Order: sequence, then structure tokens, then C-alpha cells
Amino acid sequence: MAAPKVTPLAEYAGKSRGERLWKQALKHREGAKLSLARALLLLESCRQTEGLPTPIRRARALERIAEGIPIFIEPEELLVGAFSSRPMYFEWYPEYAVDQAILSQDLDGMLAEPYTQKDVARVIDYFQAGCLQGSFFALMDEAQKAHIAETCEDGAWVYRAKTTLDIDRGYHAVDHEKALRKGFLGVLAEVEAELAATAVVDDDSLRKVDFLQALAIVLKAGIRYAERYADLARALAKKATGRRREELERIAAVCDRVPAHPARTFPEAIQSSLFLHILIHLESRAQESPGRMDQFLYPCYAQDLREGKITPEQALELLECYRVKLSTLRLFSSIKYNEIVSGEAQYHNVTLGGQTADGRDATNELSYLFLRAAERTRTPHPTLSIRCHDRMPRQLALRGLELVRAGLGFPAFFNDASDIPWLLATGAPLAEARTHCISGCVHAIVPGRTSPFDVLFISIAKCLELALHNGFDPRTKKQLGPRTGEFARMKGYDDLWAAFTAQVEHFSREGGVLIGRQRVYRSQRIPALLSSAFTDDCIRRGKTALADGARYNIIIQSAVGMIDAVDSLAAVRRCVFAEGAVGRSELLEALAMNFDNREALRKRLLRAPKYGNDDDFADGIAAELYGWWWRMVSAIEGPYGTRQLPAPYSISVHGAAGKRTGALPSGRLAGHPLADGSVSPCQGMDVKGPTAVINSAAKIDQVPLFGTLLNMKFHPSAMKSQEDLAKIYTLIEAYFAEGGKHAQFNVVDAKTLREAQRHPERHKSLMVRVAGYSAYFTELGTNVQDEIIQRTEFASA
Amino acid sequence: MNPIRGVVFNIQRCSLHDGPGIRTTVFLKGCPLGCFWCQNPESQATSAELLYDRRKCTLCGACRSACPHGAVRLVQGKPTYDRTLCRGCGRCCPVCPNEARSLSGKTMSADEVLAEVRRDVKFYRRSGGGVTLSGGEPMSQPRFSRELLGRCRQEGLHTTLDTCGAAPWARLRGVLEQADFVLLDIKHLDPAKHAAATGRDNRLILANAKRIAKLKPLRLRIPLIPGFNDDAAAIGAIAAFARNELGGPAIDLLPYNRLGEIKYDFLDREGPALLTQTDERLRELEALLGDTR
Repeated sequence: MAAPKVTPLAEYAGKSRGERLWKQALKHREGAKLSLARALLLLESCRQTEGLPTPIRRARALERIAEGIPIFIEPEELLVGAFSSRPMYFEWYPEYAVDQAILSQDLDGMLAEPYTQKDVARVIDYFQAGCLQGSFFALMDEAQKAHIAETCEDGAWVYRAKTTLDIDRGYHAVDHEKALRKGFLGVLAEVEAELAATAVVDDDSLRKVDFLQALAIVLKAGIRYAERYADLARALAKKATGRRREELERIAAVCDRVPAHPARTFPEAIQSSLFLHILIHLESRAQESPGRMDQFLYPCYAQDLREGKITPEQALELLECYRVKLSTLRLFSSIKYNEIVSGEAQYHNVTLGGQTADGRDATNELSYLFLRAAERTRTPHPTLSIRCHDRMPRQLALRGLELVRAGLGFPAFFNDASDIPWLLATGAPLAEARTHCISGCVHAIVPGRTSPFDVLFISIAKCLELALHNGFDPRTKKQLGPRTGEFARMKGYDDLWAAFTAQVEHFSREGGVLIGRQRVYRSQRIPALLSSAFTDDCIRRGKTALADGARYNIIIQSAVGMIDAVDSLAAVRRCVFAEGAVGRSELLEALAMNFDNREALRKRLLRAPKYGNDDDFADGIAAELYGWWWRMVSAIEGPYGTRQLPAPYSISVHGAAGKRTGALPSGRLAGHPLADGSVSPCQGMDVKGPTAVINSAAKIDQVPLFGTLLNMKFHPSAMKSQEDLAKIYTLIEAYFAEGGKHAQFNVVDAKTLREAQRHPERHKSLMVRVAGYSAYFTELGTNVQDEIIQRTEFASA
Repeated sequence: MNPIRGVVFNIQRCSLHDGPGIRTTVFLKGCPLGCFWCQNPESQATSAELLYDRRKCTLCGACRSACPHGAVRLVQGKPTYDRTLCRGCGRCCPVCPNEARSLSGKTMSADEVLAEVRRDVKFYRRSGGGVTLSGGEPMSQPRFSRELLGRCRQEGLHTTLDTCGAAPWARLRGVLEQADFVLLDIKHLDPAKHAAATGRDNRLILANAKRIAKLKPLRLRIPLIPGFNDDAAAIGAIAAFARNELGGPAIDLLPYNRLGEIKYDFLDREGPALLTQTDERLRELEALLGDTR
């Protein structure tokens, strides 16, 4: 399928509607404040529904929000709906967390009119004790709380278990295709039929009825939300003239129709899908991925095109509007949470290309139009992922690389040949495996079938530090892990391996239990309703997608700093055990001193083989460690009969965890970020170029892993010509032929980044990719900025 | 029989701009020319040379005890390196805690080079790439070059020879036989200017260019040197020569870059002080090439 020829609409040449809307939005961003609209409507509703079953209370809350939140239509907008009561403002989700970090922020200058500190106090007063995070930890005794404080984010950072409750779980994609095909009313009929067929005979059936009634309420609330926009558009149309009047009338007609009814046209389809996405967010702040938009929007697009109702240019304009909409979502979070996610991570991942259910290439004109819309608007969201396979047009990948070259930081490239076998192995039938989408950063899931999931982030680097100190954390001076032996008395590498893996397993189990409890707790206290209405088989089972309602019910563990552990093990194995050049006590002493006055020793360790250089010594350890880890993790049981899935990726956790990790035998200094991604080399350690990095990563058996992440950074000089792009795509192809799952690129030079660090105000639009999403560089934490700068540049100088 | 060994100063994997596809470029030491702008000054001599980065040196003196030739001596209490006594053995390099000392030039067998080259075969296959022999000047080590390219070809790898063309034809032909593709540097058509800037006139180079053009697919590369050949007359003349005498091969203009400057410091040599061409000048010169690109 060739790319459609797109000539810009004459009147928007060089300055499309999307570009203008985004410019406008960025202006709003400057003075954006915290709106309490959602929080106060929620509070009002919660007070009225006390005593009712939880799902009903949550449904009534969304209903109150959908009916009451102030709505607006910006000049020139073609798609409507908003994540906040005002453009680019933040909304608050106090039902998840009202933690000290939020309370300690100075909200005075941040509050939107007419809200006051008194309103804030009312919200805090109601939700502080009962919010998800607060009430979960209230269940624990003091010893448990102390242990978490010592072990998790506030302490040693062995694993993450506190900020996990700040938001709802995402990494999920609902069945948009179903929403377009049946409309909310069609799904409501499904819910009502199930209700009619359910007799209340026991606790379970009563819970099911509560849940189904709640679904009915939120579906109707969603329809009501769209009706408000239809009314507003009609009112505005009366005051408007000419072309804008027609546009507003069309908006009103679309909102009259969707999401209640099946979508008949491309504008209806994209608006319906956007409404669903926004409503899910207004309910539960979920990190939803829209999924395969070029697929589920295509039937309406093709039909409109055939019937002459739309041109590619008009479709492109709507896609631009869609991008701007998704980029207006702001997250109001605790300081601690922001440290972990960095930038404005939203995990709204749109998947392009891939295969159809019967294994044909799925690339279509919309795949190209999505790329073009991103290129024109240059908005950070939604991020784009291209699914690659043997029969795809090379042109799609090369167009994707053109966006990378333009500095967008996406699309990322994914490998069907590694993801499809993985999905099959986890029980999906072939047709569903072929129609998977990418959710979150790098996870291949079946949209509308796979459950959202909680994540245990565990710092493998910290576990190694503990193993070197017999389970004792030298930074916090606490005995955190099991006593796995004094390093000074270890006879060989095998002893260290045994101690290290024992630490990892100990915390994987401990953290796994905790995250599992959080999942059950979360799904019972804040059941996600609307996303469950569009996830099979929630309606039939009468359960939320998180609580065993989804057909594929998963929970994951993610390893952070795996490659730091690999490089450290390699250095110890070589310098301490093989060469005997470094003494065990000497090493521990140097680590304790952060290599201060031990530069020679550090240099020696740095010269030991490092992962990412196609060196079998280091890469062999990586392959062995990953192999051991995924088997170990997969054997741990999770809640609702799930097994933990091994899903190594880091978002920006490598920065936060790195801050609390001491010096490592790899030569890494205390406090520095850990390696990002999951199969990327440690920052600056890969000195043999991209083919060597790829060879190293390809030695890890990636098929059994639920998403991996390989970040590569190219100097612009390596991407100048189309020929260069074709060569770079060859790198991806070669990597994928060996089972690599994911590759993404950054094209910026260190000089620009340093300049941006010094003068953020001059580089606001500079976008970088941090582990699976794009963010504004100047909004990142300093240590993540430093790390990006440090990453080896593969400049073909 | 001892295998032929060569002196290699770098093996660059994932080269994107040294011939078709993704390539591994093997840089051999030694060059018959002495271009005043040379960007790889460490490649000019055939023997190994020490690169000494004074910025990293802390004067700790670890190199002094490692040097068997007394090339590092105490002068007024400071360890001081005397290049005239240095034999390029490299024993001081691993003992330097600051990585201030490295050796340019490693003696390797074709087998050793091949072991590195083979690691990227999958990338060559997919991209239509292969191995490029560069330098210095590969023709400074003709037997090794021939051996290495021949061995690559035996393994089905595409071979490119990147040469300045200044070698006796009989020797050059022997190496060319093992090359699938040639990258040829032409610096100037004026023999006197060429001699003044590179130490040799260009008659042999131009004669070889014509011979190469008859035998092998060829791409010309013109390093643009400020004040030497980055003018319309010089580039126009080369373009005309390529069109009229070489059958109109593709021509790449290589803008001057300063990335090699620091290496003169490492060799205790005076480097050129040149500035990169402006984009505008580049566009003007590109225009002279017409459709040769």
C-alpha cells in the first residue's frame, strides 16, 4: 500500500490547523493551573453516595463529573472533549493519593480561579484517610510500614511499592473497534442482557449485579457528556458565521450521534474513539493506549473516501486535531511520582502497521497519515509505534525514520516475529496475537482482551549491591536482604552469582506479593468501570478488567539496572576472580569510598569487558542473567491466578533508583542513573558502534520477555540522506531477525543538549525520548538530562 | 610460513559512508603522501606511534618505570616524555591510570582482522555492505592489503579499496584484483599545487585513476581543503577530468572538518589551522558537479 499523496490544504499551507491549535495550547500551558473541578464534583458525589456499593459510587462519581465538569470548544477545534475543565489545566485525582508530597507543594500560586485553599482543604479532609494509597498502608502494622519505608522509594530503593498507588494502572488498550461498531448503546444492551440473565443468589452474583449496574450508569454518563458538547457546539454555531458555523454544526451532528451509536463516518469514528479515551481518563486517570488506530478507523475512512465524503487532507486535519487533544492532558502528581516518570509520560501509544488477523500486511493510508500528522504538529503525544514484519512496505519504516530524524524521538519500532510467538506462548490464539498493539512503552498486548497490570519495578543493581554486602545496604545502614554470605570470603564467581540471585529472588517474591495485594486492593476500592465495559470478558464475568474480568489476566515485574549488574558481575569475575588483580576487601573499600582516591582501581574495573561491545564475556553474563531471571519471575504466582510476567523496561525509574544506589564494581559512581531501557548498554560504555550494541542485545533470548527496550542515539550526521535512513533501517531488520523486540532512536547532539541544560528557556520545544516515550528535555530531572548527554553518540564523524 | 601481518590503526564497525551499505572499515598505517591537512596524522608513518593526551596526564610517572627505552625521564622532578627516544612499543599504555597514552598501530594477521570483520556479516548481507580498506594508504602495505581483501572475498564479502592512487600500477593492480569497488581520492589536478600540498605531484595518481576506471566501479572523493582546492576552478577541473577521462563516476565532496586536529597535539606535531567551509560554499561547489552525484 503506497502512501497517499497529501498536499496541504491551500489555506493552511505550511501552517495547518493542528499546528495552530498546538501553538494555542502551548500558550495555555504557560499559565496552566490546578483546576479543582473534577475533585470537587467527585467530593460532592462521594458525600451523596456514602453507604452504596463501591462500583455504584464510582459510577455515580463519573456521572457527576461528566455532567458537571465545565466544557469548552476552542476556536478552530474540530474534535471536542477535554481532560480538564480548562485547556491544559491539571485535574486532581485525590481518590488515589493525597500524600505528603502533594500537601507540601505550595498550591497558592497554582490554584485556578475561583478555587481556594479552603476547597483544597475540603478535598484533603475527605480523601486523605480513605484514598487508595493512604488506606492501603493503613492496613499495615508499624513493622510492615517501617520495612517498606526502608526498602522502597523512601529508603534503599530495592523496589517500588509506594508511588504505585498514585494513579490507576494502565498499560491497557480497550476495544475501540467494538465501541465504533456497537456504540455505547450497543454495549449498554449487552450489559442489560447480562443483568437480566443474572439471578442474585449469592455474594458473587450480587457483586456482579452491582458491577453491571455501575457499567450501565457510566455508559449513559458517557452519552450525556457527548450531548453536552452537541448542545455547546450548536449554541456556538448560532453565534458563528461562515465556515466556522458549518464546522460547529458538523461537530454538533457528530456529538449527537457518537459515542451512543455506531460510527458511520471517519469524523464520527475518531470523535467516538476520543470520547471513550477521555471518559476513561476522567473516571480513573488510566494510562490507556489507543492501540491500532490505523486499523479500527480504516473502514470508515475507506468508505468516506469511496463516497467522496472526505479527502486525505481532511482526514489528516482530524488526525492533527487528535494529536493536539491527547497532548493537552496534564498530570498533577506528587513530587515523588514525577521523579519516577519524568516529563509528562502518558503512555498513550498508537500502534501503526503490523498484520491483519489472517496474517496479511495491515499497513494502510492512515498509517502514513498518522506519521504525517505527527510531523506537522510536532506534539509529543500520542507516541507512535510501528510494528515491523517481513511483508511490510519498507517505505513505512523509512517514513518513520524521517520523523526520528526530524527530532520527534518516535516512532519506536517493534518486531512481530518476536512479539507474536510470545503472545502465542501466553495463550492467545493466532488471530489475536497478530492483531496485538503496543501498550505502555513496549508491551505487546491484545487490545480489549489483555488486562491492565500492576508493575513491580525492582532494582537488580541494588540487589547486587546488597549481595556484595551480605544483604546489608551500605547507604541506609540497614540489613534489608537475606544474609547471603560475606563477599570477602567468597571463593569464586559462582558464590557471588548464588548470593546475587538469592537477593533478586528474595525481593522479587517479597515485592511481588506486595504489588499483588495492591492490585486486589485497587480493583476492589477503585474499580475501573468504563475500560472494563470495553474489555472482554468483563461483562460476562461481571468483573473489572483488573480483577479477573479480562481474558488475559496479567501482572508484571520489571528489572531496572540489569545491565549495571551485568557489567558489575563481569568486572568482578574478570578482575577479582579470574585475574586476582583486585582484592575482595580492596573492592568493597573502594566502593564505600565511591572510588575517591581509588581512581586506578576504578579505571581497571572500567576496562573490564562491558555489555554492548559484542564481547562474549560480558554479553554471556547478560544472556545468562536474563535467562535465569525470566524463569524465576515466571514461577511466582500473582493475584487472581496470574503469573508474574518478566517485562524489563525502566521508564525513568533508572534515574530515581540510581540516586539511591552506591558505587558499583562496573565502575559506575554512586548516585548516577542506572542503565536505561533493558537491553541498552550502560551510558557511555558502548564504544564499538551500533552493530556491536545490536549484536550484544541479540545474544539475549528476548522472545520470552514481555517487551524489551533498546535505545540508540544517532548524531544527525548519521541520518542525513535517504540512503543513511535505509542503512539504519537495516540495523533494525538485522536486530529483529535475531529476535530483538524493540528499537528506538534519538537524533540530537550532546552540544545541543548541554546548551539546552544551560538555557532551558531557549529550548522548550526540544523533545527527547526517555525509555518508551517522548518528553520535553527541559522538563526532565537533571540527572536524566545528564544521562542523555552522556549516552554514547554514534556519530559517523 | 609466517602469515603476512599488517599494521592496523583502527577497525571501524558500522561505517555508513565508506562505500555501499553498512561496512567495517579497516585502517592501515602508512601513506606515501604528506598532505598538510591530513586528518589522520597518526596514520602517516607505517610504524606504531604513541598518542599522548596531555590533558589527561596527571604526571604520576607510572609510564616512566614501564618504558624500556628511557623515553620518559624526570626533568626538574616531572616525568617528561621524549618522543625521539620512543620506539612505539606501547608498554606505557596499559599502566597509565588516566588513559592518557595509547598506541596507534597494531600488528595483526589477516585472520585477526577477519575475526572482527565477521562479527557484522549479517549487517553487510542486508545492506549490501562489506569491508573497506582505508588508511593511511592501504597501498603502503600492498601484500597485506591483497591478502586481506582476497580473504574477505573468499568469504563472499563485498570489498572496497579506499585509496589515494599514489602507488606503482603493478602493485595497485594486484590489490585491485581483490576489490569489488574503489573509492579514489583526487585532490587537485595541478601537479605543482598537488606537490606543494601533499609532497608528491599527481601524475601517477591521475594515470592510475584512468586505469582504475577501466577496471572497477569507482567513486571519486574530493576532500575540500580551505584555500587549496575549495574553489570553482579546482573542483570544476576535477569534475571535467572525471567526466572526460574516467567515464563520469559519481563524485563526493568531503567538507573539511576539524575532528582530527587534536591528534596533532597527541603526536607533538603542529596541526593545520583550517576552518570548515560554509554551507553556502558547499552548495556552490556541489553545483559544479552537475549530475555526477
